[in-house]
Amino acid sequence: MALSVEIVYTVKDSTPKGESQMSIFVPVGLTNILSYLEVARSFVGFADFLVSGKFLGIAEICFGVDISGLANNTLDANSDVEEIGEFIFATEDNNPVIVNVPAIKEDIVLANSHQIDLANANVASFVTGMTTGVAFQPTDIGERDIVNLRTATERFRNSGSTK
Amino acid sequence: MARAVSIVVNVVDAKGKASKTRIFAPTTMTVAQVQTWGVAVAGWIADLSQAQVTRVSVCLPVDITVGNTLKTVANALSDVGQKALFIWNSVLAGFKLKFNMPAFDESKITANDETVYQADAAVAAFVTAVETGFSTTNDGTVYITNSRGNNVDTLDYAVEKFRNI
Repeated sequence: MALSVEIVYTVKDSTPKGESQMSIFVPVGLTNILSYLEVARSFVGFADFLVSGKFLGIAEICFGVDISGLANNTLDANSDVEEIGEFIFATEDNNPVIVNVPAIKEDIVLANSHQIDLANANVASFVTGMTTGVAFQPTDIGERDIVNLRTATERFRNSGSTK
Repeated sequence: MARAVSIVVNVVDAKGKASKTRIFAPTTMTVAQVQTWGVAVAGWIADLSQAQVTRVSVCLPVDITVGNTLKTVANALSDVGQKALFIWNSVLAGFKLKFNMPAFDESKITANDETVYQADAAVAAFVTAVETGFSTTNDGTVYITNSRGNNVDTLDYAVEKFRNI
């Protein structure tokens, strides 16, 4: 069974931070990418009449990637997504691009420091991939190429209430 | 400046708590390149994280204003915490599609009731469109599906819901 393709819409209300998302699914087997665009646009054309908020003009069409062959994809008993590796890259025009890696491995953080060990082979591989690319150059949200790493540090997200 | 393609990597930790990270790529890539890139990114995250990668998605931005005249300003009393929950039957009995529509228009709720007013013209048009599918240039009529890929068939029910504040 193939997973469906997800179309994600964002709806904003009249408050400054009032934003929510809704998703619909469409089949994976469509022959043409234009079909996904047409469904995304047709659906919202009807849905817009039903909401008192406003749809953002950009939606996202999300295709699943097969990760069944992924190596090292094991769950550590001490893993905690609130412990984050914060990698701050920079684009060619020096705009920062932050990539957070949740549940960063403790053994790639330098002892008695919050600095991530850039000499670690896995870290080096990630940084090289992000700054030199794999067949193309990773970018920021505005498609400006990422060209270097500024900092890489461990951060902690506040624990949320359990209530 | 175009908005880039996103690769979203979802992970879960030992507490069952989920998180995700997002990396961008140029829209000039082919779909095959993006898929390859998605696997590469997932591999890096798996190597750096103690959590388990559960899902990777490649998300393409799409301008939904093309062919539509969407509202440009939210109504003054709109609230994304006020939703309509739509439950749809699929062609596979018992496997349904559920989605919430945030900031649902209060005028389309039946008076003194929680049900979505299906006799409203806009609601009826929406339900008919979902039930009969959407016309496409190259793939004929396309139905939305549940997450398992089963085409949506008919509306089961639709009611108003409120998100906790």
